[in-house]
Amino acid sequence: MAEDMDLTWTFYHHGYDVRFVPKAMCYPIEPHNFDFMRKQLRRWSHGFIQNVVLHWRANLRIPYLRHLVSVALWDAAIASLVYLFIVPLLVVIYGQPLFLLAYVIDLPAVLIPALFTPEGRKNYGRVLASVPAFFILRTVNGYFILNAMWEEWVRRRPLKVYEKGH
Amino acid sequence: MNAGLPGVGIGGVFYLVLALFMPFLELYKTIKGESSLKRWGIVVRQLVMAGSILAGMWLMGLFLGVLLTISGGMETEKISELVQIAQIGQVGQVAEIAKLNIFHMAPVIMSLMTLLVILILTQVLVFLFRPSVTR
Repeated sequence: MAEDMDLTWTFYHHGYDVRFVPKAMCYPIEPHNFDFMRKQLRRWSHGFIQNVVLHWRANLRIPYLRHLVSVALWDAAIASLVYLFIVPLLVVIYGQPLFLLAYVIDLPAVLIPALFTPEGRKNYGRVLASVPAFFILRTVNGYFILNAMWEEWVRRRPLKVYEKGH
Repeated sequence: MNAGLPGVGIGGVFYLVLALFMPFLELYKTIKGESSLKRWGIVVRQLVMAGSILAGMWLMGLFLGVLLTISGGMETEKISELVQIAQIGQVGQVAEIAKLNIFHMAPVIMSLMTLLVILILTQVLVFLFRPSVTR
């Protein structure tokens, strides 16, 4: 799963560098309902965990990759616990709905890079319109990443069937 | 932050640290004659973006601080007084508003410490498993 991640990491392992090209344009066909989105998120989450399991030793050889993947793995695990359990628990325990602001407290950190990216393409409207969806998707994705960790690491039941999400 | 993966901000802090470190690295490369105007352009762009994020987080902290104070039913008179001061723009007194900011150094330092622990643990793994080739 997540063959693009597998390919990119493999390039690094073989001595190549991969660079981000900001002017490259891509118009993917996004999932049009939750069933398709669920399949996509499941694939991404399982794919990331499978790639970590498959490549962790090779990743350790490459400073850039090992630091990036370590931070991403830690961040994904902790964020999922925070969004799915800790924040709702704080709301219930203290009876204070303001804790829900934790879901959007990093709005500037999300919004500002997103506004820098479409420079020259003049699609600021689309970017701004999609920002609320990011926060919903991030929380929903928390479930999928925890589920993937549980299935892949604890139950040893890797996802082997590629279900096309889009 | 990665496509398809949730994050709580450690990745963002990692980006900020790297972006703020860029000028120093580029200065070193300039001294060695390995830099160019094009490279400095990228450095400036990343610095502006990182600075904007920090400023945005500070403003968000200020907004939430005011919101929490108002919703807590405390010091509402003080808030309206401070808003008036801000509108008039009296330098010095405006700093009073800044005291409401929930964006303090403590969470930043905590995030940096967490990041440091993750990076150290990664280095420990490198030490333990001694990968044969290092680029």
